[in-house]
Amino acid sequence: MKNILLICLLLLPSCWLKGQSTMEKPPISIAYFSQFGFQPGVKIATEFNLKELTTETQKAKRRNLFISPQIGFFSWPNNHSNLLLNADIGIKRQKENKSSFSALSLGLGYLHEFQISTVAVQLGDGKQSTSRTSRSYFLPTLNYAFGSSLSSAVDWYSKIGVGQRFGGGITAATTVLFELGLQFQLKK
Amino acid sequence: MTRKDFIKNIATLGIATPFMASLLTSCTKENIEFFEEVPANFNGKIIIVGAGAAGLIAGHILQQKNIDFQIIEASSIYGGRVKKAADFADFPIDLGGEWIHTNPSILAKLLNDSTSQADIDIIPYNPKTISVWKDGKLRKRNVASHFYSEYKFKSTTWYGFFEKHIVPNFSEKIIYNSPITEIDYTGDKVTLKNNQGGNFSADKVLVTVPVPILQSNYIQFNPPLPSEKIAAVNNIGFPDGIKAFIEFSERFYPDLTFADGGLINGGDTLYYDAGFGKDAKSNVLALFSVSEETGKYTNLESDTATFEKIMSELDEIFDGQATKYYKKHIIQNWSKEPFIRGSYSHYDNYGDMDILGEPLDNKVFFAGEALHPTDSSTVHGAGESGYDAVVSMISG
Repeated sequence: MKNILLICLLLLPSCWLKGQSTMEKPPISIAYFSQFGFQPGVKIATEFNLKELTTETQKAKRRNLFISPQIGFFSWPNNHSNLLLNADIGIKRQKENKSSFSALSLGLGYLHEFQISTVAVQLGDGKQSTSRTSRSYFLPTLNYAFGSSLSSAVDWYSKIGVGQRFGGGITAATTVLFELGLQFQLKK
Repeated sequence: MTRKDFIKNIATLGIATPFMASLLTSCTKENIEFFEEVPANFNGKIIIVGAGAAGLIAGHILQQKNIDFQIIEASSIYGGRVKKAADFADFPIDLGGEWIHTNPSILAKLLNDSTSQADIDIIPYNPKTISVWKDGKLRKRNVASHFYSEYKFKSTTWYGFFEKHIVPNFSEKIIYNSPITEIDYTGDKVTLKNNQGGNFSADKVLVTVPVPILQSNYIQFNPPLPSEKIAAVNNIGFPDGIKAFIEFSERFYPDLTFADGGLINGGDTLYYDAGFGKDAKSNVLALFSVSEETGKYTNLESDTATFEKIMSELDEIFDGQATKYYKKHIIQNWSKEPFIRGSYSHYDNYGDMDILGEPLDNKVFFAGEALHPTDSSTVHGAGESGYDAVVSMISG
């Protein structure tokens, strides 16, 4: 129940924002996603502009407040698999005449870890079957992303996030998340 | 790009691949490479000196090949550096080799019996709470949990594996309390003598004793070992080794504590939750120490002094909670085992391994953890070296 509530809290703002959006359809990004670089996975995200922060005198530097709901997955083979539901809220900066951008954001994540608890080894042939237990963590992160446009429809970006896992019966544990992906601007 | 185009392109990019990889991992049915079928061109008798992991696997394979053999063990039990405490806690405890430092399918490989219907439960050993004791402070290093994972037995031990699956096939062929002191390979037969004057004879001999036994010249070879082999043996490091298990009424310790600065400092003195991942209710904290500094535990005058040393260290690390919650303990000082004398081999020059492993006149062969080319210092490495030695002996 606690988990469902948390997911709803993270995803509801996105629905609300979608209703408000008057701009083009929100982009969708697909990324290679990894914990510490060696636990590979994938992340899918979208992004909504909350507020234009650019002032009249700063038109050359566009800034906007955004929120980005995300779903990610990564795995440490033969050890654990992880599902991440996350929402980043932050500021994206882009120069008017340049295609590059950067973003600084805070993430609120719910991480569900499926840990292999037992490996049953058949002694006749060495085959293995696994059983798993799961545990949940609250995962706040501080993220920095940068990227640039590849075309009018596609951007590339890279992102690093540093955070702490809380819960799951353990004390805080630092984690570092890497992301390298493409963001697709969808037409109406 | 329309949404339809987007979906089409993503499908083309194969975005599902990472998911597939994980899916495959989670239901892995790993096929292992079994020991190859070896032609047995040998009809004589083999004597194995030492009933540790290498000697037992060698005996097991010889039994499967119906080759006459005998295992002569110096101590009163088999296992060597594999040993268990069955009744100390509510789970069996490995007093010696404990971790499975490779794919756990190695157990099937060691058993080498495709008709076996048995299975065995293994746990990934991936401690979540990790601390480092350094400069008088206990620091959390839980981040290390992302970088370290091995395997352990869930409800048995390495000793239990041998006890249940290997030894019953040939238990009557093990002679105990018979330390071999002489090996004479001058004649057609190899003759052996134990410390009570008992004689044994075989066509070939497999020596699986720990390195310090060879270094101390406890066994006299005739002709003597080649000087190159003696030099190689003496070059191998074999630090002190100890394990201790202490039961407490309350748990106050993390899953794993590096007691000597650990991690970056490469220390091998650990305090760890012995029941991690097992069906254990009792709180058992274990000490594992194998390093040049381990003598501070192993070289004391008695196990009582060793225990007091450990408890004072634990009280310092955990603010007196060790004494407060202490219930009972057990100590396994491997350095003081007369036929072990330490922990396991460390090489500065792996070329010494090749020299140590060279047979003598195709009559005296060598095996043990020190002789596995990639996995020395491990139980499975010892077992595989025993197998390899048998292959050399019976197919040559």
